[in-house]
Amino acid sequence: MTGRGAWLLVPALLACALGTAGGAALTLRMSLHAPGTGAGLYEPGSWSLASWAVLADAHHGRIIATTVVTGLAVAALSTAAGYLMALAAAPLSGWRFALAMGLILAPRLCGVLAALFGLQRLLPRGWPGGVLAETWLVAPYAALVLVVAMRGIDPALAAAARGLGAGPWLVLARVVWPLSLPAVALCLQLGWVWGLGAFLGPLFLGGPDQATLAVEMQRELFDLGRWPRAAADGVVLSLLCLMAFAASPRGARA
Amino acid sequence: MPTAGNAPSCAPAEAVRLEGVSFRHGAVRAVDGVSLGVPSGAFVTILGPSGCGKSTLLGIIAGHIAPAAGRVVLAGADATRLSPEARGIGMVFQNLALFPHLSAIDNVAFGPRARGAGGAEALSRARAMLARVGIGDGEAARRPDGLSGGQRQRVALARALVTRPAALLLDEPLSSLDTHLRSQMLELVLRLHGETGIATLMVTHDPAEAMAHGDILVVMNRGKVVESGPPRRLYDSPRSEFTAGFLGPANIVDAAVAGLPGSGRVLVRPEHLEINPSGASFTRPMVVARLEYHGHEMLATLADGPLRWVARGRGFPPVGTAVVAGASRVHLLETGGPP
Amino acid sequence: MSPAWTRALGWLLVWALLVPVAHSVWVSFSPDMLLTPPVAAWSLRWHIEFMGDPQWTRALGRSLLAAVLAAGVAVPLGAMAALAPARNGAAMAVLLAPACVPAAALGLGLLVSAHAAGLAGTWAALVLAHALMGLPVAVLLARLGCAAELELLRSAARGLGAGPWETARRVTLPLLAPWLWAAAGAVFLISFNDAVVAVFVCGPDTETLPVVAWRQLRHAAGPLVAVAGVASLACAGGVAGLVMMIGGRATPE
Repeated sequence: MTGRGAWLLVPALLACALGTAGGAALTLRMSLHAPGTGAGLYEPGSWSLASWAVLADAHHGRIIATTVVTGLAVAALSTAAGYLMALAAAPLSGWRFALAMGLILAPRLCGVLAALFGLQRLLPRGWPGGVLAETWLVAPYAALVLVVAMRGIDPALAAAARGLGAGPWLVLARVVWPLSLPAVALCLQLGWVWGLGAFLGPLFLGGPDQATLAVEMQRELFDLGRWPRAAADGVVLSLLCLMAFAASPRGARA
Repeated sequence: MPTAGNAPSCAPAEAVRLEGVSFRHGAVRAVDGVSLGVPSGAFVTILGPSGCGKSTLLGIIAGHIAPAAGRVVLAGADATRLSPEARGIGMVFQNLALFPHLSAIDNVAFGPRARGAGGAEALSRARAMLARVGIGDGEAARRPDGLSGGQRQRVALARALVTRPAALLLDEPLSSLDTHLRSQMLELVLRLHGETGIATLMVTHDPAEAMAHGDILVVMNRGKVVESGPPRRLYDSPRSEFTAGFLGPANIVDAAVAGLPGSGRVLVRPEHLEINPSGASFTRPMVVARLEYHGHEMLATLADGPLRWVARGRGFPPVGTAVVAGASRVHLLETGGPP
Repeated sequence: MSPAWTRALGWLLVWALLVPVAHSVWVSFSPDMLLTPPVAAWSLRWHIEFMGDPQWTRALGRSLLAAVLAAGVAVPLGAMAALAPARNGAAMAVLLAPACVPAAALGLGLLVSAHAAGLAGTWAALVLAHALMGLPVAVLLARLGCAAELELLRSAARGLGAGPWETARRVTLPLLAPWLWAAAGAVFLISFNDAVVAVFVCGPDTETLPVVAWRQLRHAAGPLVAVAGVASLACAGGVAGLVMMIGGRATPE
C-alpha cells in the first residue's frame, strides 16, 4: 500500500522543498553577484564576493551579535510566557477552553501591524522594546504548543500525585514539568529560530543601532537597493537558523 | 458487620462513611444520594454495570471530585472540603496512572517523598513495599513501560500502600488483566488486606469476583445504591429484582406462577430448579428446549409456555423431552425491577 | 495541575497580550489627529476616512482575495499530503519547514525566486508565497482528520467495490470536511495577517493591507493604521465565525 498513494505527497513536498531550499539556494546565488552599477539592483550574471567582504566589518558584527542575543532573549521570554499561559488554559474544558485559546491567539489574528502601533505607543524604544514586541509576537504560538503538550498528559497522573500527598506546587514540579519538557525544548528551539529572524519588533521599536539581520536585510533591499548585500545578510540569517536547529538533539521532527 | 440499617456506634469504627452524596455530570446524576459505610479493616466491594457511578464514587472519596451534596466522613472527621493530598487515602486507578517518567521504585517513593520523608528513607520504604508485592530490585529500577501488565499492577498497589493510608480504593483492578493473572492479583490484594488490616474498597463490574471475597457487597445501579450486605445474603435473598438478575443467572417470575399468593415477583436460582423434584414448593410441566455443556455442569433452558426457565445441574434429559420441573427454594423479592 | 498563583500569572499575561490590540482599537475612535485617547469625545471620522480611501480599501480587498486564493491552493495540497500512506519523519520535516524558517528569510528567498522566475510583484508570487506559509498548518490539520477510522472506512469502501475516485468523493472527503474547513480558515488567517513575507513579495499592484499599514507605520504613524487593525479584527472574526459554522454543519453525524 505504500507505493500506491505516495504520489499524493509529491506536490506539497515539492512546493515546500522549492520554497525553502530553492529560495535559499537562489538567495545564495544572489549574494554572489556584483553590486549593481548606477540605478541597478545588482549585476546580472556576475560573480563577486564583494558583498561578503563587507560582512566582516564592525557594523555587521554588531548586527549579528544583536541578532543572536535577541534570539536567545525571545526564546526564553516567549517560552516562559507561553508556559504560564498554557498552565492557565490547559485545565479548562468546553467553551471555557475555546474562549481561553481564542484569547491567547487573538493578538495574532487581528492585524499585527495595528497591534505594533499600540505597542509603539506603550513600550519604550530601544532594544528591550524590540525584544518585548517580538516576544509578544511569538508567545501565542509557544502557548499553543505547550497547551497541546499539557493536555496530552494523562489527567489521572495529577490526581494520583495529589492522592499521594503532593500539593499543587509538587504536582507541577514533579509531574507536569518533567512531562512537558520535550514541548518546552521545542518552544525554546522555535523561539530561538523565530527570534533570530526578529523583524517587526526591532524594526518598529528598536533604535537604529539595534538592528537585527532581518532589519538590515530589509534596509539593504528596499532603502538602499543593494540586493547582493541583502542576500548575504539573508544567507547568514539562514545559516544561524540552521545551526540553531542542528544544535538540538532532534534532527527531524515528526 | 453490615452497616445498612444499623446506627453507627462510635465514629472511628468506620474508616469511610458517605452520607447522601450526589454528583451531577451534565444532565446525568452520576451519583444520586449514596450513603454507605466502610468499617475499619473491612473489605467492601462495590458492584454495578458500567456507568453506574462507581468510579465517580471513588473519586469523591479520594477528594478528586467535589460532591454537589452530602458529606464524606473519614475516620470520624468530616472531610468533604478537604483537599486530596490531606485525606490520606490510597488509590489504584483503573489505568494505574503510574508516572511514566519515573522508575518503579521512584513511583513508589513518590508518596513518602511528597510527605517529607528523606531520600534514603523514602527509597528503603519503597524497596520494602515492592518486595512485599513481589517486585525485585532489578524490576524496581525499570520504568513502567518496561514492565508487564501484572508487574505494573503490583507497583501501583505498592505505591498506594506505602503511604500507610487510612483506606485503600481499587478501581476495577482486575478488568485489564488476563484470566490467569486475575486470580493471582486478587490473591495478592486479599493477602495485603489481611496483612495490613487497611479498610479496602474495591469497585468491579464482575459479579463472580465481587461475591468471591469481601465482607460487604454493595450493588449500585444508575448512581444509586440498590442493596448492600454480605455477598451470600445478597445472592440467596436479594431484596430487588435488579440485584437478583445482576449477581447471576436468575429465574424471576410472577408469584402466581410459582404457586404463591399475592402480586409480587419471585426468584428461583437455576441450581434450585430440578427435574422431577421431591418436596418442591411448586412444580410445572416444561419441555427441554436447549442444553449447554460447561464442563463441570450443564445449563438447560426449559420452555414453559411463553416462559423460559434456566436450570443448572449435572445431567438433563435430551432436548425435546417433556418433564416436570420445580423448585425447592423460592425467594420473594421485595421491590420491583431496576430502580 | 498547578498552583493558583501560576494560573493567575498566566491569565495576567493573556490579558496583557491583548492590551496593545485593545489600545489600538480604542485609539482608532479618537476624534483628532493627535490621537488623544477617546475618553471624553470619540468619533468615527477615521473609520469613515478609511472606507473612503481607495489605497486602503483596495488593499483590504487584495488581502481578502489573496487569502482566499492561498487557502484554495494550500488546502488541497495539504489534504493530499495528509492522505498519502507513508508517514516519513523526513517528509514531515520538509512539510513543516516553511513554518520553522523565520518569515524574513522566507520572504527574501521567495522574492529572489519570484524575481528569477520573472514573477516578481505578481499575484501568482503573492498567492503562492502565502500558500507556502499556510501549507504546514494545512497538512497538520488534515492529518488530525485522517484518523484510523477513516482508513478503515476507506478500506471497507474499496472492499465493496468503489473505485479510488468514488471512495474519495463519498467517504474520504465528507469525513475530512470539518478538518479541511478548519485548515482553510487557518490558512486564510495566516495569509490575511501576514505582515513580513508580504512586505518582501508584494509589488505596487499587489499591496495587501499589512503592507500599506507597514509603510504608514514607518513614515508617519497615523490613525488609519489603527483602523486597519479594526478592519482586520472584523474580517478575522467574521471568517472564524463563518468557518466554524460551515465546519460544524459539515460534520457528519
